[in-house]
Amino acid sequence: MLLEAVILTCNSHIKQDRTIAATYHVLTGKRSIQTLQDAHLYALESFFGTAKSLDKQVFDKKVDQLARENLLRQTAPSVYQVSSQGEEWLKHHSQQLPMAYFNGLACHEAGNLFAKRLLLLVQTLTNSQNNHFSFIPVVDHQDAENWVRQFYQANRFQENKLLPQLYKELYHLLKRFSDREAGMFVDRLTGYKNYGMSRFQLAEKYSLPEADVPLYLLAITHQMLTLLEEENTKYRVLTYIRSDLQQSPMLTNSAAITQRLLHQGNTISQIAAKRRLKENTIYDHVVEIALYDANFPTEHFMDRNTHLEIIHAINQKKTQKLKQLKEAVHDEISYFQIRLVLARTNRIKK
Amino acid sequence: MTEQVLEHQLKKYFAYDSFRPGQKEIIRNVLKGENVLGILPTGSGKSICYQLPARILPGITVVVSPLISLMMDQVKQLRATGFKEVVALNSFMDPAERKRVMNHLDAYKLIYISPELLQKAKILDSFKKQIISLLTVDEAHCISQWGHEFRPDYLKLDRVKRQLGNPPVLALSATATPEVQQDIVQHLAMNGCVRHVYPMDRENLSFLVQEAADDQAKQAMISEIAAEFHVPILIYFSSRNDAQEVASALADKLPDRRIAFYHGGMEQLDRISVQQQFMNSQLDLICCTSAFGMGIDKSDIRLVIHYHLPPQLESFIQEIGRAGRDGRRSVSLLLFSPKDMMLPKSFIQHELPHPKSIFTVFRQLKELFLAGGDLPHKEEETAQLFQLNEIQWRFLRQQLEKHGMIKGNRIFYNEAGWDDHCQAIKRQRDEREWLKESKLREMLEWIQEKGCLRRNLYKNFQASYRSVEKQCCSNCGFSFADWDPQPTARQEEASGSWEIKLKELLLS
Ligand SMILES: [Zn+2]
Repeated sequence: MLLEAVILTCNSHIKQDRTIAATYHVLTGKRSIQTLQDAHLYALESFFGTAKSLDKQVFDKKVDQLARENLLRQTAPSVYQVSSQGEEWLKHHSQQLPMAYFNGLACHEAGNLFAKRLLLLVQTLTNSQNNHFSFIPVVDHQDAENWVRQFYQANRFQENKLLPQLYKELYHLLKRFSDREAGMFVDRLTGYKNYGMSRFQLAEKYSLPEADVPLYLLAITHQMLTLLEEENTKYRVLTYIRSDLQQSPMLTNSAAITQRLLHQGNTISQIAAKRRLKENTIYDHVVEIALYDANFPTEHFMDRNTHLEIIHAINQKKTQKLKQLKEAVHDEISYFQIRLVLARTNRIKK
Repeated sequence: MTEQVLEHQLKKYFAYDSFRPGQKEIIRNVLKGENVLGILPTGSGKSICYQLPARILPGITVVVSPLISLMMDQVKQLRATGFKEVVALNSFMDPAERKRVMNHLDAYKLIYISPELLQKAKILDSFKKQIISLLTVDEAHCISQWGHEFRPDYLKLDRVKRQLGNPPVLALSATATPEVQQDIVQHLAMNGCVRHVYPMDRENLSFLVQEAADDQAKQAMISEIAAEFHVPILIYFSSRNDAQEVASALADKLPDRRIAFYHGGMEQLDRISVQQQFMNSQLDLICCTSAFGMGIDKSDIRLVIHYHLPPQLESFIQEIGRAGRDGRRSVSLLLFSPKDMMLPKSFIQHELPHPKSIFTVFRQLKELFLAGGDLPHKEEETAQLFQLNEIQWRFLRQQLEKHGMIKGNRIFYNEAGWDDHCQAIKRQRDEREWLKESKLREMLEWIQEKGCLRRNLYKNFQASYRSVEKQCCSNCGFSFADWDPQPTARQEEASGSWEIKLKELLLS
């Protein structure tokens, strides 16, 4: 039900502006300018990358099923609209679903790593507490392993204090969740001679469809990170686990390089020449930078009148569609300038 | 090295008190630098035969294995016991990580590697610079065309061996008929080879073969049996989907049994937890594919059920070999329904290219060559180009390479030999099909056997078997009514609140 709710929510934000593929790309966290821009444009930042391993076929099947149940209505090839029945369904069910926990774009990488480190840390500490050092780690991830090893080495001498502290923190943190959510999280943990549950087992125990389980676990992780950020002084160990994880949205690598060159005072065509890239690619980067950078100097790329004209068109046409906007403004105004203004207005709205 | 010293080493490195049958004998010959063929039944601790020498021998022990997940499991287990100079090289590794390992090969004592990787010129060159004390060929039956899992890559191991300066070879397998054994020794040029062949028949296993009308009837039978016998159970399936679906159905019918499924398509964390839960007696029953069980050493599995007909006796014998390793009476139950008879046949068709598509590929290759083109770099793209699945293309590629028609992704057209090659490859294909079908026929004959199932199961593999007086097989009068295994001890139900569970997990 959570997967359905997430798909419907995304689609109801996107309306009929994009094909259903846009929803899929947001959910799987596709790192393309278009998808990042969509995430901002339609206020779907929190769902970005929340179903990373969602199979395209599974997704398509889900969409078909939602259409058959009249929750989605197909309006054009690959374009869907959430029906009034669908909106009703969302309103009715969202209450008991952890929709508000998601913080996809901000926790994109951090959430994943935080969960892995925590799982491995609990397994390592509980086993070493029992003088058992030959256990099979449940997490097979180089960064998580390195981090836990370093942490363990550095804290070996106060080992007996660590577990009670970690217990206390987890207890208090989990108290902020529903019993069902806390139960799911605890059942997933592996300790000494006690291995955590698989997705299938969690699905059985909590009567969930299997596809919902990873979404629940991710939602809980994201909410944990949010709570930890708000009240970091209360949670020493847990805060430490996430302290070196970047929790701000990241630019794609290529856009970051463009940003650096822009700051050094290069023009678009200079950057394109230096990097042997097309100017259009650099324009894409600039739009991406504008989405993140609150102090982005839009005035470098258009005069005041152009800016006002585009804003006027957006307000009057009540649309975010590029093509319609382009038709509504003077011919000299470029697609790039319109996209830039859209990026800015979406930032300001937040 | 005296026996006492060997036993001391076993205790020191692996925490076992004594060797299992065959291990010490094989290790002694290996340490003397002899070529050794070891045929040890599943579950007899084959891996100790090279893991212990790897710690003792001065140079590197190279283990060729086709089973990537098994390699990874073993590396993990060895690292967990403190043996850190061990690594697994395979094509799925991160390239940077692989490069790092390749530049420091001498830092390792035991290196697992997949056969296709060991043939790469660059990699072989790095190995040539090292002292190789032992070349272990695991699953050695893959070398033989007569084996149930023939792998073309294995055929090139003789060349690899020569290039490595002819180190002593240890060839290991759990299921190899006498003719396959002969193929192994001959192909790897194992001069003066010492053979250790241990019988694979298991006195403590009872055999049941039962017909069921359809899937529903099978599931009803299984849930009845699982309800009556509360013991560790493994159920093998030939498809991931079925394993998953039956696990769900059984979980609904048997709420007081702890049930899970396992297959190669699951995410890593889930695979490790399910495997370890079963080892740890947190689970009663697992529905799995053949991906499960390799490298798993659980001694008290009481019942192994085959939900689908295995494609040949070899894999069946391996899979039932996971039951009753502690020597206690355990049961193998094979279920079949009339429609199952056709299922393995379609698998065979799935694994081999259709004769017609061989002709088509030949025509396409010629056209491509004349147009000055190459094959795509990616295997899956090439397979798609020829409208074959990847298993079919792998077979054909190996054949085309053998006849010098392709090298890498380049095509070498020679008009004179073209048609002959095509006929030869078609014959090869028909031979493989015939072999696979005859393996399947053996399996089908066995389930329809009226005589003792035990005698007829092992007759192709060894000269004799140990007969069993009581509880032999369904044809000798054995049924579940005669079976009285000790039930799994009732675990305390961890049904408390999450608060209690968290406290127990972290603070006890
Ligand atoms: Zn019998």
